[in-house]
Amino acid sequence: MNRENTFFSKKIQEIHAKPGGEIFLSSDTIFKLKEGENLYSLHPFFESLKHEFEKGRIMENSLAFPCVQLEIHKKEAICDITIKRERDFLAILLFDYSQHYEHLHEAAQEKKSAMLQEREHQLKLKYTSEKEAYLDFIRERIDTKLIFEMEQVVRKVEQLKRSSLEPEQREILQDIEEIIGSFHLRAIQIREGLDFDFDN
Amino acid sequence: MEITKKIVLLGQFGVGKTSIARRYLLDVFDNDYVPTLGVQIRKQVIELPSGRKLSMIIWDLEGFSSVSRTRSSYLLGSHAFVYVFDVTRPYTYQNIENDIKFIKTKYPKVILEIIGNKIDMEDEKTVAPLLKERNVSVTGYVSAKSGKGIQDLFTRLTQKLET
Repeated sequence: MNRENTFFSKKIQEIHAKPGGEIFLSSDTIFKLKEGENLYSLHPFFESLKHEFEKGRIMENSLAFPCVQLEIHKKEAICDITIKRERDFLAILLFDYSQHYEHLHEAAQEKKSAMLQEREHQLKLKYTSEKEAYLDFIRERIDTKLIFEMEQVVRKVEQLKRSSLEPEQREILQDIEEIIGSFHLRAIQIREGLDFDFDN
Repeated sequence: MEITKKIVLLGQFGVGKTSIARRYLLDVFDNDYVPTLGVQIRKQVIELPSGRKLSMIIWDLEGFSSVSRTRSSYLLGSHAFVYVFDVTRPYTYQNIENDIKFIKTKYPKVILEIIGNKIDMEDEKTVAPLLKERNVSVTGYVSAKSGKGIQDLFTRLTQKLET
């Protein structure tokens, strides 16, 4: 069977490079590379690890970097990368999982979108309940601090009206009664206004 | 001579790591949220006052619930971490002490910036005292949307990386 024609063989690329970066072997299945090209110039991913690979330490275990978004020679691929530092060279395996990750990307975005909608809903519920609690507080304050107090004044005015007063005093009392009546009505209107849904 | 430094952006999903990188590197901001999968790596070469060139390689990692769950290979050879949280979502700095402790224990030599993003939506003054109480030293507040504080963040990083 021709290995070149299998599906997965086209998705895996093996690269060998000297610790200094010079590439001396590449299967070119995902990215076409030139012999002698420098690994560290291919992509910032490799460049940022240059210092680690040049240290000359042999790695007991290979390093795995899942889901790295690469763009090499204007070709993009999302790869899982495995790197093994051997005595004289670096062995690099690229696994092209672009399709898989792109699908995951959509799924992740949908999940995130659902989470954000859920959060939005929670915040709306919280907002509604906090708004109601606040309005109840204001209504209660208007009742006790304004309406009730004004009703007390009205009662006192009524008592005064039943007492013997000079005509001038009776006129002043009538003015006070009208002013208080007007304030009382406004306080009730404000209180009722709070029942109106300002959000809609 | 060019020096290469690896900077890793860390933080939970949606805190604005990619937006910070895009604002700094491309001076753009996109309102649409696209979660980062795995790692996206970008490079910026700047000339230092000394005349040397600094190649900043920025690793923009996908969000995590805890920094201890990030693959150690992603953090290998890092010179600086930028830990980002979202000032509008307390959830994103709920575990910040543990994350910072983990970073400082495992990577004591790596420069660390702790950054609050989205100050265009929430005043930093409401968040800063809460974190100060928890002994978290936030090094800066930024807005990737407006650009506020982004240049200062990377200038500060550059200066630290040069020394």
